[in-house]
Amino acid sequence: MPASGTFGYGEEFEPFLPPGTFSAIVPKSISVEMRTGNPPPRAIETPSGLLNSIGLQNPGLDQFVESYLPRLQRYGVPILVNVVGRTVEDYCKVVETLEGLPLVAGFELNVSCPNVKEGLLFGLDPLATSQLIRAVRPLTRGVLMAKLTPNVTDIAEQAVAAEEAGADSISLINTIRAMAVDWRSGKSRIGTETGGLSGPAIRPIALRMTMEASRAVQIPVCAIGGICSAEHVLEFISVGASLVQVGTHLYREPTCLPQLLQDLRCLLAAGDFASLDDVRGNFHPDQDRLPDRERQVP
Amino acid sequence: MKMPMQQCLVDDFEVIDNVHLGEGWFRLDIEAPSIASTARAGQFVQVRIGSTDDPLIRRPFSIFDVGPEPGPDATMLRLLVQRVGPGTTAMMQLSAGDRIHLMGPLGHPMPRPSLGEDGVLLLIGGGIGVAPLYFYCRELAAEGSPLKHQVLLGARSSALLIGIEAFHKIGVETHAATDDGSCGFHGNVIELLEEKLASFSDLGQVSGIGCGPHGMNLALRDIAIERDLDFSISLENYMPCGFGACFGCVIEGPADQPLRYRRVCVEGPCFPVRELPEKF
Repeated sequence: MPASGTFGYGEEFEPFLPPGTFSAIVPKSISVEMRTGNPPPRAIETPSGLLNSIGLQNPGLDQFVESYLPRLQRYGVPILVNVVGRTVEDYCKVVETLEGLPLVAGFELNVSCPNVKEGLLFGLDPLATSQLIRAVRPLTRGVLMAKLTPNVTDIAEQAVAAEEAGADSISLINTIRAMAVDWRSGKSRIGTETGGLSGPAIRPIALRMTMEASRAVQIPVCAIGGICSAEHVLEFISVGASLVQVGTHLYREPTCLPQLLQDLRCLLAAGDFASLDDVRGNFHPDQDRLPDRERQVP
Repeated sequence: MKMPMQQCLVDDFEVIDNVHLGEGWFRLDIEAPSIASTARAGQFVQVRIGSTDDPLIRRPFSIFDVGPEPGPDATMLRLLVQRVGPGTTAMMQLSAGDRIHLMGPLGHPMPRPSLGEDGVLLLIGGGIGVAPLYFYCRELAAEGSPLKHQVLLGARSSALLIGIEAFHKIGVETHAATDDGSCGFHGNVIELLEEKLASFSDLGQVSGIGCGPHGMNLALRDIAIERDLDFSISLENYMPCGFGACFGCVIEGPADQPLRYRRVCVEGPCFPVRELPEKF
């Protein structure tokens, strides 16, 4: 499935391929009120990465229900609505309003946007994450996924908090707080001081965090972070992911997903794996290659 | 304004020729009938350079020309490129038979002003901005449009007036401005425009489309606003996707609606000056 924020509201992909191609659609974050977003310039390329500061520009809940959702429903695939808010009540309002509407299969709670003032209020604090999920949980019978931030010391702690609070799954990672500077002018190269880094540059970090989160929880982990190929998907599956989202790569290859699925089948077959289940979690620590501090002394 | 639902292709195509034009400029001729046959002047393609993660994101290039003639029978897509960084350096090394990965056509075509019989459309270009203006002239010719138009081109010196012969060849009235006076008007293209405007008795009969470096675009906007001219400017912002999904290439709205951010890729890339903020 596409990663929220990189898929617009679906219609942007219509000139390329039928959005029904996706297993689920994850539109750009929706908040109760319309948000104008951050001042430009909003994005710049860094080595193998994309630094952005979009600021959750979105039409707001009412407009989403009126104009955007009917179009998304036309595609006939499950919609995972990405929700963002300033308060617990904001998240609840969006979920309550959309719950039960056709094809709205669930909600991905964005507690991890680094580009707005309140974006990380929930995501950095396991207690706040937990309270938010507990408040939203009774409001939906659909899938409840919490999108976690990498901007923490211990991702496992966040993952456990989400699981204990009743999340059906977690997705990670959102972008990593980062910056780009023009030293001559002494200014940021994007419209805000810092932004969020995505793309292949963050894949090794996402992989490590997927492993740590997968080890800490029983619920499915949806991996995000620089995935561009079937090889990458399998690496994330190997460290424990059950699902993946493709984000930044969709910008350069908006038609990549059907090919990626085909490549996935070929790679599994070539490696004598019957299914993804045979790869899932097959990564295991090798006692001989652990760093000193973790090696078990007989 | 909604983008018409035009089929957009993402594929690799064969380079037929790479013509070096001097001063780091070159023209790529690409056999791409699926894009060339539907492309309109002002639209662009996103080029993926190499197959690695560096550069990561595609780069937008205005379509310079399609051939043999604009319209549904066009098969050849031409891009005018100036070498500025590693990406364009790699493109410069492409030769006949190589493949190039394109996405397009993207964005809205440039507008067609409705002018009376005495009306004149001024096409103002600087640097790489000449590319879509040439395609525009080619389209007018192919359609047999009665729209009177003149091209004003600016560069630092005559050697950098890339593309001027192309305009001459298709018989478009073209005026050059060079900073050093080595060709045409001695001064920049904005000063040339001011001189030109002074020669019109009724500015209501003058329309304009500009495409050039950032400084030129800013100055053009100021002149057009000051004199209440019906001008449009084609922008070239950094575009992570180019098709409206990322909201990364936005510009601010006009002074009274600064937070009405619009995406240059799908709502532009050409905007009427009255919709542009003072700084963009």
